[in-house]
Amino acid sequence: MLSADLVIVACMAYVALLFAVAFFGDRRARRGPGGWLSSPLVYTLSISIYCTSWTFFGAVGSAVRNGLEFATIYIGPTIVFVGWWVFLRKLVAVGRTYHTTSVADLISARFGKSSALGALVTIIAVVAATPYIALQLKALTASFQVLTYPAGAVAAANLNLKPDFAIAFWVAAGLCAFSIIFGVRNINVNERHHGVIAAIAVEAVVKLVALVAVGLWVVLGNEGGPTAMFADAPANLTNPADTFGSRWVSLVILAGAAVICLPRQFQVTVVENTSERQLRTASWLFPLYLFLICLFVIPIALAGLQRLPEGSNPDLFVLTLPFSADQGTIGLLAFLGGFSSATSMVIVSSIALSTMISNHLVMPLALSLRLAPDASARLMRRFILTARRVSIVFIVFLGLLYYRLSGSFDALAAIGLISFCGVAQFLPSLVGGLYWRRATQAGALAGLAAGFAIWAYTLFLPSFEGAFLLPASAIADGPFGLGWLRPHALFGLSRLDPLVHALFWSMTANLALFFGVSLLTDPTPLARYQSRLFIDIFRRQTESELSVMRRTAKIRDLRGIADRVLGAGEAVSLFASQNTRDHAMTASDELIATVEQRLAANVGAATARALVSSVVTSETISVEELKRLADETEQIRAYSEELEQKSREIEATADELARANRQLRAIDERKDEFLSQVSHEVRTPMTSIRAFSDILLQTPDMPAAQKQRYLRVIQEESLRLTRLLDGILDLNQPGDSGARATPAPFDPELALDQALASCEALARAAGVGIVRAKRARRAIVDGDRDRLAQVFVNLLSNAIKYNGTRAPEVVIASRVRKGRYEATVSDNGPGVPEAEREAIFAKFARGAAAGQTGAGLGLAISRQIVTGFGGTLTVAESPQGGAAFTVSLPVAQPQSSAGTTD
Amino acid sequence: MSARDTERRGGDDKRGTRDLASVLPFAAIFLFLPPFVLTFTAPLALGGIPLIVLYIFGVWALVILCAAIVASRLAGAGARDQAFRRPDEPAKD
Amino acid sequence: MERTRVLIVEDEPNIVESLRFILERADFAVEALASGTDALDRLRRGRFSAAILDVMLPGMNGFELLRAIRADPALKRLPVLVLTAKGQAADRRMAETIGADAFITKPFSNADVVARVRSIVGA
Repeated sequence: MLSADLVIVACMAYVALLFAVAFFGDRRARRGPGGWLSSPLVYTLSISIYCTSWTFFGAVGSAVRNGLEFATIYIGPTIVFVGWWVFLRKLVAVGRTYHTTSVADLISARFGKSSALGALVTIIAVVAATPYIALQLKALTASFQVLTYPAGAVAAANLNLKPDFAIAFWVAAGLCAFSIIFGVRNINVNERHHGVIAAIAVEAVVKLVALVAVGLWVVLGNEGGPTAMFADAPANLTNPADTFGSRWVSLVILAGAAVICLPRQFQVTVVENTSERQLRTASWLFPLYLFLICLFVIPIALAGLQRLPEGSNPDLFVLTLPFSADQGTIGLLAFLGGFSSATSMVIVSSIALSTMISNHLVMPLALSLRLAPDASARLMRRFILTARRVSIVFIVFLGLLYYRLSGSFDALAAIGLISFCGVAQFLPSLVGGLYWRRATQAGALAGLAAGFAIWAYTLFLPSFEGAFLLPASAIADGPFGLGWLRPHALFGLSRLDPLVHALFWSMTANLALFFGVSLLTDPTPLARYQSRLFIDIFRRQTESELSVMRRTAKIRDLRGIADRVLGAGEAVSLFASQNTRDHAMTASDELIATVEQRLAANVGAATARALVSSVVTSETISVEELKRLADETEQIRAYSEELEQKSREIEATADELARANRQLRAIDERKDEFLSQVSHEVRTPMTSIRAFSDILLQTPDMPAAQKQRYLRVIQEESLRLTRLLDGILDLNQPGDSGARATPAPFDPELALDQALASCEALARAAGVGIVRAKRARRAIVDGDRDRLAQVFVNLLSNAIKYNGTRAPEVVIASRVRKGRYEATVSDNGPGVPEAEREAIFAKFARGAAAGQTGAGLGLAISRQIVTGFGGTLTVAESPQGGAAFTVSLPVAQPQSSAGTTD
Repeated sequence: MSARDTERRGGDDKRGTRDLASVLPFAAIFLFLPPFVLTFTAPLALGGIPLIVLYIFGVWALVILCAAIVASRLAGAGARDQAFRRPDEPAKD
Repeated sequence: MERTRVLIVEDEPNIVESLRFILERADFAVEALASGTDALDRLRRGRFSAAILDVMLPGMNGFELLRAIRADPALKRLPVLVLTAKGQAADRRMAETIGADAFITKPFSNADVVARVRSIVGA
């Protein structure tokens, strides 16, 4: 055993350390916000007050009794935190933006700053927290008793000691003192408690280190590895199918709800939050903390079952295991870990609940009964502080009372779950309030009241086992012998686990009334206004929103309230911009709103509103304006989604347009070239016609033969002009040129010969040598002979005309290969650069190389004709280094499919 | 053109991360709750440790890892948002 | 008196024939060639008083030929008339820049051609 003195000294030293941390934390915070106090790590560690002595001692007990079930309590919060983007982010943003002081404050503010809702939520929270605080007191007392038991810890754990309420009382008193000193120093620090948070963070580290230390000691000291460890594990671990029933689902839901709704969790997660960065880190770091806490629970449970005498209390395995092996240091560390987890929970819970009691129960009552001393600022503030201090004592001793009444009853985990189920009643109002515009104050009130009543009847009161309000006979057989009202089998639903049963009925009633009554009632104008602020938290607030609420109040009166509640210092800075002589004047809507917001951060939204309303002489909220704004928001949301979609489409279209524009510009350039080309082609025959007709007119005495010749020139040139215009028309009717001629089978060689004959004269004049190389035999293609001849003429004349070399030469070759007739016209001229090979076939193109003028029209038409016959016209480099144009046409199938190879 | 492309890709990236952040809790619910979890309740042991214990803790670790990745990517995206915010636009808090 | 010699460089046979008829009737001695490359040689050897150049010629085009003429010390002062079927302002400016003495757009009036040739040879 350890002497009581040693344990007390260790506790005192530890508490002194916490005091020091809290003290320096507060001092650091007063010098300015930021620094390590608002780091995501400290924020995450403070959230881990979720792990109380229920976790530290109770998780192992739970694992021994129900196998993996203990994990649900940590899986629920894990899901909520890794899913922070879905809900938690919004909740925290609302709390941060509107300086929410508690879960009661947020719910009451959302539903029109309703005092009734604030009060109801506070009462539920206080009642629900009582078993939870009792649990901590029980764990602290038991661990202290076991540690100091004269016959040794192991023997003590086996004895089922009678709880020593004297120890419990002193523990409770100590916790009250710490909470009051650091949690309620003054209301100026308003809702954030930097000192306490710093101390809580230290405690979070201590409990994790302690549990991991015990776990490592167990695992490393274990001989035989996992097989030996799990050798005689309870059946629910090795054959766990029964674990995953309705109770598993219920517990995950309850734990997920609790990590949001428990007043202390709301305090550290929402109220103490200063930035989204903190939450982003906590979204994975807090689940990691839970994971590490749980990692050694099963090994410790198994080791306890193996090494400790039968009948030992499994809730104390963490403590008794080290002592059974005479590891006093690890044992003391384990005790301090349990001490940390219990004290941190009680401290933060009592601070959070005391704020709620003073803001939502005491202040509204004092205001309406005119009990609040409004004579001076000092008196008013002292009144609020006293209310909070008394509340802390009240809450802690309520827990002590519950512990006393419920006696030695039950496992730690079972007590905790009663609280979880109680606070889970907040969930519909909290989630509904942040997402559902139609949710009304009446709906929230009805749902909460019904859920609370059923919870109290089916779970809370029966937990006293007849010692309080509900006699044991009523629990067993129903009140007045009415069987269908039995608390554990309401309306005859008897086959469920009591916890699942209570959750089912309370949540059913809560949800049904919340939705039903909300649909039947209309929200008050203020609730409508608040719902707009809360639900659209991520949308920037607009100017027009301020114009919805119009109030009139004298600056002097406002100043009076601010002085009393906030203290002179803060009030002066609030009114600094106002001219002192104007104090009899009317305050602006903005000033009234600012003052109310500052007050709300201290005494809660409902009380702040009551205070401000007492000096406001007229108030109007334009419901029409609100409705209009709500419609606008909906429209804007729809529009912005549509816009995002549209802007993506527009970007794509713009890219396409830019491409089309580039193409158009290129075509435009080619069109200019083409027009000058056409101009040249037209002017040339026109020149001859005009010149000879002039000559003929001016020379009447010309010999007849000469006259005849000149007239023929005029006729030829006119025909040439017509052909040219036909060609241009062909170009403007795409795909038509092939169709105009009816396709018929013919020998393409004939077309080639025809073209060759008509170009001979031209070649001779230009001094170009024409070589007729290979010939195709027995080739028949489908199409029009004259048209094909036209193509060949075009290719030949190009080859002849645009060849500037000293010994110009054109080679013509044709063959049948793989079912296609191929004719190639190649020259030894300048050739066509690879980059331009496709471009020269475009309608308005012509070769860029020097001298390659006039080819534009012809090649485009030629390709069109060949394509019309189902063939291709391509250009490549000829063996002589010039250009080689190839016409390729499919051979007509029926006759000569065999033996057509060259 | 290329600057717009990267910006758009950044936007898609951010949207993808946000979608992942929204899907993650539902994936966790599916993995942790029956009926899916019942797939792993056979009385088997791997290396002496019951299968269900390995499954629960394994999925748990995986979910935490995903959350950490999402958080760090959102942090990166957030920093870009800050950088792109116009000077006359006030930050949210 | 010996007739004034004019060289026509033009690849359209019909246009050459019409120009030859008009100019011979106006008492010029006319020679014609279809290629720019040949024309430069011919101008250097024969003593021509003027040249009529078409712009669109196979091989060396009219402008290139004109540049070569102006670059040749012996031909630097040869009066040149440029003929073009394109009739664009750009062509006219180009011709003036390179040093053409006159510029005529196809189709032309016969009288106009004769007048222009007379004016550039100073006859």
